Amino acid sequence: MWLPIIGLIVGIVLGLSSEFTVPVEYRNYLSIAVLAALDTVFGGIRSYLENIFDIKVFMSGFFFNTLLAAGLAFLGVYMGIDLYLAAIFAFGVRLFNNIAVIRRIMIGRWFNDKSYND
Amino acid sequence: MRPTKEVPFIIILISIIIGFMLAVQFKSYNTAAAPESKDISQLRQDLQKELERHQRLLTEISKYDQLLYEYENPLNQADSVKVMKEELYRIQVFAGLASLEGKGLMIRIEEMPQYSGDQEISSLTQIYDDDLRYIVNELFGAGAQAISINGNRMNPTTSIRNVGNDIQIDTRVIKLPYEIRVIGDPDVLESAMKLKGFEEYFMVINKKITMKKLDKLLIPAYDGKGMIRFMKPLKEGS
Repeated sequence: MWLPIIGLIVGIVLGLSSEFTVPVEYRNYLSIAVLAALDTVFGGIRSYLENIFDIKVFMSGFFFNTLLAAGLAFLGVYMGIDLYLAAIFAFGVRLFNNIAVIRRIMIGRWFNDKSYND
Repeated sequence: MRPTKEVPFIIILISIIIGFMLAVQFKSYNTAAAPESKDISQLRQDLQKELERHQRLLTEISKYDQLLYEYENPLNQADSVKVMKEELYRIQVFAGLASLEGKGLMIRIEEMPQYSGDQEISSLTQIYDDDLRYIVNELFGAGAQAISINGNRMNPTTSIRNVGNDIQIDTRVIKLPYEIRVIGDPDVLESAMKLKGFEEYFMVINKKITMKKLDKLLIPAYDGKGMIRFMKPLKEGS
């Protein structure tokens, strides 16, 4: 349970301490990628809580979603369509969905009430 | 779900990647997007502020320059005015614009007494501008500080020339007897005159030259109007 938090802290410390910055023109892609990664993480937490967590699905989802989101945004720039909006919309909705499910599960466990789970 | 040994490492790796991305995104956004988030009026205000700061700094610079100048030239205002007046007086003396008094020599050139009744002016017995110029030049060469001929002060642009049968100094006609007043060391001036044989020379053309050493001699200032035209001073170093 503590592993993700420890990893997150280590990653943040690494990112802040390193001088690595993303060029301005690639910042949009990174933000989309971050969004996708967050979505995957919350999806992972949700599946863990629902006891259907699979590390292979989680890992592939993480990388695939991240790269797909960034690639979609990249493609959109070249096609003249704001495709990153699609990514933001999709991932945003899924993020809220996942967080809502996680919230219900947590509340159900907190109050030992199974009725919240479904 | 198949719990294996790799799962914790994968989770740690992924969370590290997410943390890294978050941090980089946060940093990039903060460094690059901060100036863009200001609108025009805000930028104008900032510009105004910076301009005011610039103005203030310029004022400070000029203040310190002034201070530096005062330190380098430790004269208060009264002193500098005094210095300027002294310099002006020195220049006036040199340029012949100030009346002077001092010891010197008075040279008088007149007709020989026995010929005073002679009305005929012969070209042989006439004094030419060359003669007077020669005298003036020799006197300056002997260390004369100031010279006047019949009350006409010699200044750097004075001309002595013949116009008809008369000699003009700066377009003023002078007539015999000539009275040349010189300020300088009387002995040196007298011996210079004698050495060059002026007495003998003027005797040949029937003129008598008398020299009188005086302790107090007054030389008037140049009374013409000097006009500065056609010229302006160059700045030093240009």
